[in-house]
Amino acid sequence: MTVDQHDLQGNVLCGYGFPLAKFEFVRLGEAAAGRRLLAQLRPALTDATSWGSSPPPFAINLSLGWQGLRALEVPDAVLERFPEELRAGMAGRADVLGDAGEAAPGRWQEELRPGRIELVVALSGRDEPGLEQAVAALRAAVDRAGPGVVLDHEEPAAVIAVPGESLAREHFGFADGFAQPAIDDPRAGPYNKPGQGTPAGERNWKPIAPGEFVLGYRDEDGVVPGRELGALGRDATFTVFRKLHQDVAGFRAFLDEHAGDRGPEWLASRLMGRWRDGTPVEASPDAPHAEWASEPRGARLNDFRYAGDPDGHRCPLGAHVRRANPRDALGWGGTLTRRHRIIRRGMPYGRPLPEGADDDRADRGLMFVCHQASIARQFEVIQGLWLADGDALGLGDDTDPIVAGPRPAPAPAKFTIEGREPRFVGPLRRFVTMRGGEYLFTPGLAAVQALADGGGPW
Amino acid sequence: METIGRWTAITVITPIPGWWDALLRANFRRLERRRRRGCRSRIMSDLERLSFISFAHWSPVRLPSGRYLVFQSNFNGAAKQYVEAFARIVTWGMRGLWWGAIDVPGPLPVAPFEAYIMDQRLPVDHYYCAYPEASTKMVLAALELRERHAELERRLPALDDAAFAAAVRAFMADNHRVI
Amino acid sequence: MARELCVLTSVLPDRREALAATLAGLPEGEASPLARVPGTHFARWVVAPSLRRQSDLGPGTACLVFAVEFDHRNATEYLEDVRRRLPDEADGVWRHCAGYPGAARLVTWLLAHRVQPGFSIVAFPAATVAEVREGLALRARLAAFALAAQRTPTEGLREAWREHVGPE
Repeated sequence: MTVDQHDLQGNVLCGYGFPLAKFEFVRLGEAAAGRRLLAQLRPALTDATSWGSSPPPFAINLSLGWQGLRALEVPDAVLERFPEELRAGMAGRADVLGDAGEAAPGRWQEELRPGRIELVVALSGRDEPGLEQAVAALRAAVDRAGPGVVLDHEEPAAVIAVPGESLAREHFGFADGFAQPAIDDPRAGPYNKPGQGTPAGERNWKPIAPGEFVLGYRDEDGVVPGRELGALGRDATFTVFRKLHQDVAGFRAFLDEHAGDRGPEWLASRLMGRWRDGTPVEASPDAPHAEWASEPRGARLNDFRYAGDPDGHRCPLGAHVRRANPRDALGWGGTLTRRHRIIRRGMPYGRPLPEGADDDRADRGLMFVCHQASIARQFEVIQGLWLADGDALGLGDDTDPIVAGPRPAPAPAKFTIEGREPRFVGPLRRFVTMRGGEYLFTPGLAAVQALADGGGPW
Repeated sequence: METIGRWTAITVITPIPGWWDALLRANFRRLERRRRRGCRSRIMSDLERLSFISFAHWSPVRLPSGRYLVFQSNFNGAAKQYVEAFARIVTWGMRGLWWGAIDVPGPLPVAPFEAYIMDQRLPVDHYYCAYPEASTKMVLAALELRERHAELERRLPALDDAAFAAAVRAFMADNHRVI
Repeated sequence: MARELCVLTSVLPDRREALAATLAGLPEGEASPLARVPGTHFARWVVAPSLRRQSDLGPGTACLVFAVEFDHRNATEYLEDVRRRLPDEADGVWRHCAGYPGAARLVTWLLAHRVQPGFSIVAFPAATVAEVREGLALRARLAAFALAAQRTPTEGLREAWREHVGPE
């Protein structure tokens, strides 16, 4: 059964590919005003149907935090059926996620602090004028909704394009956005390329059941998630939003300091598990492959496995991409990883720091967004067990060298580059700091209408 | 509190019918005889490969109120992932233990089995561990290192600086996976 | 050699809450009374609120589970250690159970309620608590040395080894 494109919100199964975005944080005030806003927004929301060859100037989508669902006065009996992690909120799961020290909820940016995020409206723009139209449309809807509804805060984001290259980059300089799960649905993005599904047999890959990402459809275990949410559980997904600050100058300085005789680019590739252009280190440990990276949407950048490299001599065991998607690295084919995939729809924010420039202390990083049917099983396993810890991979207290800060441990935090002449890199520092975010519910369009109407059926 | 440092305690007591009690006891005796002879059963190999358990025990018990299977385990990581790994990797092992038990769903699909274990696990009233901040994998690595380090330390005093450096560097390289 | 011991005793009908309160009042972590018994890898006290057959309608019997993995000795010797090293706590917990004979005969009574082991998985059967702790401490020192040593020239390595690794 294919996913209902007219009910699912857009940018979940198939990315828009737009270069600009703004995340608008709206306070709903009291229930009636909040519902009026949803009613205003509903006709403007973008669904998952194909645009063919003519994309619209902008797209609008929305997600609700637990506080938003409560502000809309969704009945308690319905609220209780939502997953525990949504109720706890991202701040309530800080222990699980390793959001400690500078990343602890008490240190988050004021506007994104715990419990504050109610409604997130994601505006995507084909270009600047398109994005401005989206902003104007939202502002008009907020005005019409009446008193109490407030546009609290805005976070802009933009793709970092590199002239002459087909893949966008993130602020540390790595190509990003091209590694996504292959999903068993015709509208699921251009991702059905080798390496993006679950390993099947020696050489093949199997796309992943849509229910791993969209409620109301069968998941990898043949179960349909979201049934307990009734009408709200159809064509919906759960979304993680995290504003991740990136210390670009610090990262570059670290690479220079620890480069050794192989140079900073080689070191960067070991930490990430990919060369800057996206070439996977597992497939090509000695150098990037420019021709792979130049293929449209990086089609050949994901066709590799780890089981032939159990000791990490090609790609280090603790490299970021090996942690974030272990493929068959945990043994038994992809059995223990196939239910822990996420769809990432994030976008960089802030002005890039030119190469060689001094630290300008500007706020830059990644607006991290991911979608999944279960935050606890998917995002939290990756972030909590594989990135913010190393034990699942046999690496003890050693955390992800790029995106996680060191965890409290008796030994200094290190990154081991395995091999016949291994290297120990460290002590590691924190380069990515969580500045605030929330766990969100992204309803189908009919459910948005039901929430706007307020009376159910639920 | 059922968690201390990296360890979680699970205790589940399941009523079992008399015939399953008899079968389990016979099977356990057979497995013990094989273990004494040095044979390793598949369930043991799979569970050990998963290596997030330090100790796990399944014991049949007869009480005045009936017969039960007592399961207890100390493991690392999240309880749900632990149960999932058991159910997916050691499926036949789980059936061999719980199939005849009363009202226990089979290990696959995972969700009902996971729900059963999560629901039936008993809250721990007091939990102690002698090495809370270390996981099974970390302990195994540490034990291996300890042995190899002892061998190295016996050789080091007799070596000059250059030989010392070579020996220590070789040691670090050979053991980098467990450091 | 790590051994296991599991003891199941019935809780007196009106003592469940008192038992729970006693256990809740025990200090945790390194201050746990069970830390005083050398060679204790893991230990737990669990109150199973009501064990009964599915077919029974009665309230069921609450049971106290005491489960431990320990070094070196047999169960009798271990329990003797428990009796000697945490006499007040042991009495404070088990006095809530049916048939508790008092501190002097604690060990015999506990052994009589022992659950015979069935099937076990043990990840590190030969290691004692002391060996595990030594190994972990050594591993941390070696990790510190690993980072320090990479830039240390040959002639300085002996000093760096002594500084970070030992001998203890």
